[in-house]
Amino acid sequence: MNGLSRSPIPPRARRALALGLLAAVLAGLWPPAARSSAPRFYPDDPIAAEPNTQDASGVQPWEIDLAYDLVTNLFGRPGDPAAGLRAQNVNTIDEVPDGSWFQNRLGRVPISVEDITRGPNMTAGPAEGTWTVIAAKTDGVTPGFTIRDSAEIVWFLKFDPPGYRAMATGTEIAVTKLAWALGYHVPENHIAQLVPDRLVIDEQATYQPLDRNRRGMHLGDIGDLLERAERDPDGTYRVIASRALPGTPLGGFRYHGTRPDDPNDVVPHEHRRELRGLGVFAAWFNHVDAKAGNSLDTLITGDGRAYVRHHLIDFGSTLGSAAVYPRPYWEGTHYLEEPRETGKGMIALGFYLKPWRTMAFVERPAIGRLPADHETWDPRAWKPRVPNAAFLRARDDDRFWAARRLAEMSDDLIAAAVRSGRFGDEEGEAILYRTLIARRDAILRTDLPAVNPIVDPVLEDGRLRFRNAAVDARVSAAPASYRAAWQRFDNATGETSPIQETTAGGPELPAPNSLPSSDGAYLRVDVSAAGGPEAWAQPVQLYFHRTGGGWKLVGLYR
Amino acid sequence: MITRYRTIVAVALLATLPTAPAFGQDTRAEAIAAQQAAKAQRTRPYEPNAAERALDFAERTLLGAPQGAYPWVGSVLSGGGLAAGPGYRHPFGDTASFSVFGGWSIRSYKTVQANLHLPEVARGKVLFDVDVRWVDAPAVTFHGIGNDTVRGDRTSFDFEPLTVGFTAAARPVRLIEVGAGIDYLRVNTGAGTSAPSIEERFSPASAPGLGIDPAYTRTRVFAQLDSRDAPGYTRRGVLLRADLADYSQRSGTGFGFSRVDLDGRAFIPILRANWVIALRALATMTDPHEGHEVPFFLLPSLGGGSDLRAYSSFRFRDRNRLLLSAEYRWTPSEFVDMALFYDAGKVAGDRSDLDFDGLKRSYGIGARFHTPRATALRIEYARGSEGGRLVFAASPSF
Repeated sequence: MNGLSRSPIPPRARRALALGLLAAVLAGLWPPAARSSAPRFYPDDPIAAEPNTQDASGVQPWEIDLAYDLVTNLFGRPGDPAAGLRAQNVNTIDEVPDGSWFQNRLGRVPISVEDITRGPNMTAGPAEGTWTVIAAKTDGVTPGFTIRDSAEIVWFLKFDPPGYRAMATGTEIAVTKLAWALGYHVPENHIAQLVPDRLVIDEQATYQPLDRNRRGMHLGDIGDLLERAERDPDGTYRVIASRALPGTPLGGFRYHGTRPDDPNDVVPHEHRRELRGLGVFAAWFNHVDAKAGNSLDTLITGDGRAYVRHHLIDFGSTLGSAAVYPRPYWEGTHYLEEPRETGKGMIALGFYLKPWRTMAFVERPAIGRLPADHETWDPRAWKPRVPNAAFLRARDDDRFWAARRLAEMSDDLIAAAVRSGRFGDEEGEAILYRTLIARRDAILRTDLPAVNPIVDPVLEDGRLRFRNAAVDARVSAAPASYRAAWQRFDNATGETSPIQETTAGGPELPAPNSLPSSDGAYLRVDVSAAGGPEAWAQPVQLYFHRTGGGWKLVGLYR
Repeated sequence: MITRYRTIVAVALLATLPTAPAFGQDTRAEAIAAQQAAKAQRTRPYEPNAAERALDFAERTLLGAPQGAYPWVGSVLSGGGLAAGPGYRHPFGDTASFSVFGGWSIRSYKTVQANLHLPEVARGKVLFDVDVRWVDAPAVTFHGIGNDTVRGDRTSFDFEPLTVGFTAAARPVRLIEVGAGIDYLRVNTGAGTSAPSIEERFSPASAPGLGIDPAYTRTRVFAQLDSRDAPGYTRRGVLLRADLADYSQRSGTGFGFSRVDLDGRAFIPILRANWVIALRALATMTDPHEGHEVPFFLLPSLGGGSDLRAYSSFRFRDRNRLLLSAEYRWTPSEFVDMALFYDAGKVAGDRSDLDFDGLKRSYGIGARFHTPRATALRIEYARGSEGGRLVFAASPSF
């Protein structure tokens, strides 16, 4: 040191810092339009289909370790640590585009009783005649076969447990229909009768007895497996025949992250609206086993390119069935393990009683075990066996999206789905029907009013018309008034400039006279309601694009 | 120093970058396509991480019946502590298997055990097993014979039994099992490794069989009714079992005897198994052949983590024993049970003395970590007249 005052920053570092700061300032001051940033809305918004643009033929089958999946979800929090993020696969009007995960049905297209009765089925089920067994399932408690029918179609067969005819098979059929109507990709499932005498074993069929090496299959194996199934008096077995899904099986999908080898899988699964919303549907039909193991990806090849389609499979543990026995009392009320609750219970000598210990249940062999009362059921308190990364991240708008679909699920459609399970127990079917209706209504009461429920806005003839989904579903009273704040919107910069505010007592608001009239103009309208639930005061942002002399809805944000 | 400031500049620049997710595309479809194209450049096969691989290994080796080589973990003999060693299991046919394992415990107890499970007959209703079991337990405790032995008389001895046996069992109807077996049993004993050794305090008069190494032909029959939902972790059901065995001395004389074990257990769930009352009664009676004695090392005993839990393993020995246990269990979760327990038992030289006088008592609290069908870890604290003990076990109390 020579005694002069000097900066502690060396000259070279000072130069670098000065240049950097200058660049930063310049970049920050640069007009946004010159930054080549994306516009808020593209000409093709809102997209109706989620594209798969890349060839996914390199995707390899994987087997998700169920124990690892269970442990990570039960004791960790896999997926994006950020909380409260909006679903990332919705289009600009807050809807899920059709694609390899989801196909809009209920609420988008009319679904009749005949439609839901048919569901995903394209055939009448396994063809009569000889069924050739090509594999057998020995893991777990439920037996299962893979057969090739006389029409050379491959089917997976599953049975009811002894003493519970129709419980697992009927439940799986009924819930498959519901899941199909809601928009998920599900397998073609049929109820069929297996006649043991008509089974033959494929020469190439192998069998792996529990804890043993794989070997060639023989008829004795069939007998051993059938001992664990409900047998009809005539010696046949009622089965659910699930048609092999199109494409090459790739294993299940996780409810968090993306598949690393699928180039088209770019949205973390926990941020997919249809998977978040599945939590609402799962609560509805008590799909406590909604996990990676009950999903299946398949590689679909066509037009010289391949993509992965994602399916929900295996609904045997839904409603009152746990597939191999009636649903345990606790399922749906808490996770398999909740350390804090367990801790309380450990010191309470058994007097920290969970509600299910004393709750009333109905139990019938054909449908399993269900709570007797659903009127006080809280859908947001429902839990699957293991925490689900997508369900946990569901926001009110995700749940609203799901509830809207349920609002379209009429009593007749529910009755048809239940009937398709052919439970053979009239009172049991009536219980399922009443259960599904009561739980649907509870979801509507809970999730439709939880956000500003404005839907289907249309701007034409100088009027903004919309519907209130909660009022339409008769779960909320109409608000006292609606208010719209009209603004010009610059799609390039995102800037808005106010035009006027209008109000009305009903879901039809006058538009200001000074709306832009040139094609290509954008308009933002913030619509809120007064005199309704608190959440309704939060405006829904509507965006309209002037095109062809009319206004097209291009954006909706809750 | 310069590097540090470069970092600041870099962060400042990054903070000013536009935050729009994609640009340069004219349509939403193109924007999505750009994201997918970017991912296509970095796709890779799924690789399980270290935790997933470790769990997979544990599943394959510790759960269910292993195939091939596996690490064995368990107990050699009560009081020997945790043991581990290599194991190998080879299934063959549809139902047969051969398995062998060796283990060494933290207290230098050693064992080698092998089992040949022959092909099952009549769809598993008839079972045959050949077993070989060798144990070397160099510090088994002996306090003398009788219910009133004192803790300060603790000695140890080396206990080295070798058993080669054949068992046939049948399950004619559901819940019922009957069976019979024949074994060659040779027991070598010697000085204990934890001082004082048995011969320093006891003589053949006070410890019959001291210094002899008998060999037996043991014939056995048993019958049981078992309606428990899972023997490894039970919430409901009953077990009633009777075992009868005759120990016929092959070499030498004076130590032949017969033995009867009667074991009854009941598990009563209350309020959807919020509570489970578990009860057990166990009685063992031995009868020496005319003019014979029961060697001290084969006398029925009490003490240890599975019976009189506040007392050390083999704390009490005599020709007969009685054990009564009751547990008040509660089930805070699907994986954890808690229990308050109470054990009372005694040993007696005469069967008529198996009454409720002079019972040794132990009581305590425990936690059990379990799967739906097996107990993975049992941790208990038990107190009795000789103080408290911690119990660690990988099996149910009963």
